[in-house]
Amino acid sequence: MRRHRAQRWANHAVLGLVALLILLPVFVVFEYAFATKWFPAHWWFPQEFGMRWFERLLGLGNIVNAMINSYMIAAIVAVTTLLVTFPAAYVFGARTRRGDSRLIRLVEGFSSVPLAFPTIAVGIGLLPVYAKLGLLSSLPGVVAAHMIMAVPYALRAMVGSFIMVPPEYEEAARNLGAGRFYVLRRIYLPLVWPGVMAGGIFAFSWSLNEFVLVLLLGYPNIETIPVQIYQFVGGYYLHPQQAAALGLFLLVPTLALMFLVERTVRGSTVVPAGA
Amino acid sequence: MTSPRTSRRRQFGDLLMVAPLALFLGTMVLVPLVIAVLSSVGMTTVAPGLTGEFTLQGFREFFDPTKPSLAALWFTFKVTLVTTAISTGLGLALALFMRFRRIALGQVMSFLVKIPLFMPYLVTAFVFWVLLYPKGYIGILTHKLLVEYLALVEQAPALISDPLGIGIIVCGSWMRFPYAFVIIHGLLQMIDPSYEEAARTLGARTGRIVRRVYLPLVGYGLLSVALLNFLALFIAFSIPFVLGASWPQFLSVFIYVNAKDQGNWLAGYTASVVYIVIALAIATFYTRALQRAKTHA
Repeated sequence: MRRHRAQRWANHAVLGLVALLILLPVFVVFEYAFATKWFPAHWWFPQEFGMRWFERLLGLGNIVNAMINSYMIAAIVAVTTLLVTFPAAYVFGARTRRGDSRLIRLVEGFSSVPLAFPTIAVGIGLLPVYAKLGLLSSLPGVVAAHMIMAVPYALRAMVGSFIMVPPEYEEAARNLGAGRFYVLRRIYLPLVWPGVMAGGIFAFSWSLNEFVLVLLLGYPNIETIPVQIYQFVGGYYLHPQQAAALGLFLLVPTLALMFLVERTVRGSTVVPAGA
Repeated sequence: MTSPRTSRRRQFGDLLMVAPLALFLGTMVLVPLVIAVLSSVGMTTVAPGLTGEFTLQGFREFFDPTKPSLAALWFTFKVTLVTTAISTGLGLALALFMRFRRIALGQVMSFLVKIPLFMPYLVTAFVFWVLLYPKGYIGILTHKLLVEYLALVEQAPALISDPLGIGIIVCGSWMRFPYAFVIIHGLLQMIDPSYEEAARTLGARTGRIVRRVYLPLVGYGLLSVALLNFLALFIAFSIPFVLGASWPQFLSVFIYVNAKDQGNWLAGYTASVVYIVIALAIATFYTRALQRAKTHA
């Protein structure tokens, strides 16, 4: 009985330690973002909390621009990624079409390659292409660059949904004279909607958090939240509190969206958010 | 039975639907890859310093032991390997602990453990910068412990921007250990508990059960987790960019500094090609390990 109780305590202690290990860094972001008075002698906890850093950030024109840019680019990336990947996901995933063509299999295989690519290598390969096309430091250029990593994640989420749809549904619709686009719109879309949502959220989240491609291909004309956070911790002007406050504009939506995906598509692939 | 004409039409329609994706991947992935490969051997004129004539100068310099590039590659390998060992080891240890103690992964714990997986890389790098810098919680505690209480050293070691990559290792391990835990925990759940009971009846202790029963059964899964953790950190940029030292540099940072800051494009492209080849090789190993793990399951 005593041994049993000691074991239970040990279990709680280990789980508590794990929870602390996980939550400490998240807590620190919030602590720094809201701490307005923090004397060095009382290093373990701030003396006063408030919204000062948020007010200061929202009063800076370039920060507000970075926020608008970040959310706008992420929304455009999500929509364009879905437009490009949805028809392809149907061809790759629908069981009425799988295994049709070697060329299609090749494209499907190649679509996963960016996942293993170092983003920096893709970025410096793209630099001369962008310079030639006049896309450097432009909004369309950054959107296209963000799509490189958003596409494989969105595609995976959607292909998984298409595979789940029984092929008889499409065959029945075809027998009744439905065309390809009618089938896609009226049969598949309502059934694969969770996958489409998950794909869109992956793309949005990836774009929102992407840093290196904006730094290489968009900066200085296009500034986003990650670039501004870096300015506060890695640039000439160090300000952890403002960086933390700005970080919450990435952290809160990303965590909320990702848990939404977890609920929408159970057992989906876990996506790393912006390397 | 469909006629050849209908089948051809169908195939053409499918190709049309895949065409936007193929065009996008071709322009945004294949073209930069080809440019990087050609530029690494000097065969383009897309950047200053490239003459358009074939040369292996970039590779000769990259693999020259007296040059910083090889040190950057070695540093990247070392830091990534240590991080992989810590993150995968922690994940395995926690998963085994929960298995032996028969602790169910409740809703709250399941939610908590996934937080690091969803954290944006740059925000995580920033948080660890704040925790590890001399005025951060861990920085202050390290100073108090090593300098004031134990008096082991006169000055506490730097935990960020340090030559050992401590900051990168701590941050990377925190980000990746939940991934190892989630996968290994899932694999362990699939193993019939009667195996453990049988081993215990025969007198096996916990250590022996881990070595002889569980590890062989989750071996390929463990390998695939370790490879994916390795790949994720090996190709990362934000974490080493924020937490790394100016020397030795992580390979991704080395490429950025050489190409963008110093204008040494040949070195940048050569390092990129080496980087891509290694990353793709790891990805191939990962795919094979995953296939074996699936066959084993």
